[in-house]
Amino acid sequence: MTQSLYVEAINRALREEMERDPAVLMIGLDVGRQGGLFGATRGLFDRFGAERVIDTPISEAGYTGAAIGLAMEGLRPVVEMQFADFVTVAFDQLATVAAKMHFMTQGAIHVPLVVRMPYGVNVTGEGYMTGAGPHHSQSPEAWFCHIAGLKVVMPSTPADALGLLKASIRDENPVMFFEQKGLYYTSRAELPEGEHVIPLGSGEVKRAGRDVTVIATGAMVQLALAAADKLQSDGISVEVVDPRTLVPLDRETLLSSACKTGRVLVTHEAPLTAGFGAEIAAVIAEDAFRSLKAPIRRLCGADMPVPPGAMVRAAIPTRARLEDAIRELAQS
Amino acid sequence: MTLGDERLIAMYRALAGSRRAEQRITDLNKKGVLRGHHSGLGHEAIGVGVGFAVRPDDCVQMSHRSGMMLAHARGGYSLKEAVLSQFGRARSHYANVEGRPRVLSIVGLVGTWVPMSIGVAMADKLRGRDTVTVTFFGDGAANEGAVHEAMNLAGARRLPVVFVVENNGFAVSMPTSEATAAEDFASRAAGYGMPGVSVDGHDVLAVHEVAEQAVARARAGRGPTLIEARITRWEPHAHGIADVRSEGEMALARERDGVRSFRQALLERGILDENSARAIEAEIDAEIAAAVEAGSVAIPERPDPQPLDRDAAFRLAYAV
Repeated sequence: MTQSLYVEAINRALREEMERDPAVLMIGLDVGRQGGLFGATRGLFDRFGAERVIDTPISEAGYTGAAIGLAMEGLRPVVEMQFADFVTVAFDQLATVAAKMHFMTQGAIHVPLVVRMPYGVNVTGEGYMTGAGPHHSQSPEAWFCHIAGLKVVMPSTPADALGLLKASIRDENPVMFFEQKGLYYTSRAELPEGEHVIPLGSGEVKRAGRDVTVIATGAMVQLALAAADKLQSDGISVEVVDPRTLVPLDRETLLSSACKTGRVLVTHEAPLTAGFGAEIAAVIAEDAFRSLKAPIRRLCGADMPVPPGAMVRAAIPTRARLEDAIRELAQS
Repeated sequence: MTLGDERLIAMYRALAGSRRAEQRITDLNKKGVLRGHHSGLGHEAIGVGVGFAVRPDDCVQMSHRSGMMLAHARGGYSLKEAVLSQFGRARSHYANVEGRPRVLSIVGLVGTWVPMSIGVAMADKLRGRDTVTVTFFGDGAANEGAVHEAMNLAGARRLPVVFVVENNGFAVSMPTSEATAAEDFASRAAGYGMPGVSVDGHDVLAVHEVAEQAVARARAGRGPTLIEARITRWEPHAHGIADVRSEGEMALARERDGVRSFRQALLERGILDENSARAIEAEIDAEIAAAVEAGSVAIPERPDPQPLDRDAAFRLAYAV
């Protein structure tokens, strides 16, 4: 069986959904002839034409707002935010319009909109996007978790990217879909044949273990799995849990792992303070406190703008630091 | 296009109805019976002029200022409903209701609502409809970035959109002359490759004429138009907010009265006589009075609010 890159899984999800449902549209910067800056929409323009794969001028508020209007009219636009960082320009459209429309109209109007958000850095430290600086490297998922009405999805593998993107496109209200752009050309795996849809709100235990639970998102899942492999030989059994969607959150999967191991470490690329790790820690502290054998630990990005160049590796969790933190937690 | 007498009389009926309902609602706010109204007094000719230029299947996104007049002028939204909705006893004119002409929601941030109208126009075009989208906003909103982005997109894609700026000279307290160095808003259209036209917003026939041209142009696939309707705001920005203008300046603003001048013109042209004008006005007043009476019936004391059903609220917010 052939292996697919993370970016190819995204591309397959978009293509399959466009084939399945003529209401699905692509809209954003360079999504047409260019095929997307990272190649996620490659081939769609030739296949589906300029009416359904819509290049726009640089105007995030304009095209995101237009996509909301399209969605209100029953189409299913998928906006590509060229870099997740650019969403600040469109924030008002998402927070004020998209998130609240269904609620404010008592369910009369749905906004089936997906905003694809290429975020983060290439944590391998090699190749593209290892240090694109403060305005092209952020992980802004937590901003959106605090806006009632927006679902927030974060796939960590090609298969999850495929299944979750298809579910997001079929969802009836806005979904912020966070694609870890460092994974686009570094993460490769076999994809399931045929229809593969993963319901939003289902986390997954990526590796079973006994001693420590690592709850990780995006590229941190890969690092956690690598760290778990390494620690296995030191006799530390690590369970890796990926919530996959932050909103809605699969609390049960997180809590049952926390109760099982009694030791929890939460890790993400985004800055520590008020990051989504804080919410996960709170959920576990509230509902699994009595099962804990040690305080919950967080290993997250530094509270600073993402630095450019090689310095970025000092500001986000690395495999080595993750191993150290897990080892320390296992022994506490 | 010359309008027939019947159409002109219908226009007067819509204008006089809008004025009298708006006056009554504004007065009820001043008395404290109602709260939180953005009075549209003085703006009637804009709503009626545009309302008579669009089809029921055209999509109109109405502003908080002239929305009620527009909905009423388009038909399917009576003065009774307009008044009752102020008492929370009828659906507002912002909602799409079966049997009423098509509308598009707005949100509480001015200018923010404009880009979604672009999407509606794109959707209609994709589906091969010949409908037009009309979006209203004020001079304050016109300086928002989202509005510029929307106008640029409409121009670039030659979308069937009509932008209507209601320029009443003030964004709450900020005079237009201090908010922009541009002489007018219509001239901005050139920057987006669309025609821009500035019109006296008190003159219902002038508004109607430019609206008809813009709508026809959009319907023919020739792209968007920006209409600036210059108007005076008779009341403060909203109920409960003091106006920065002096009493004298406010009185001066009220001298520009598009309803009175249109009535006068119809009388002079012999299309209406004094008696028939008064008959129309009496009918309107009776409808409004009945609606106010129905709306004012004491609302039964509400029991303490039930505890919030958080799961139900989550499902409504997230459509799950």
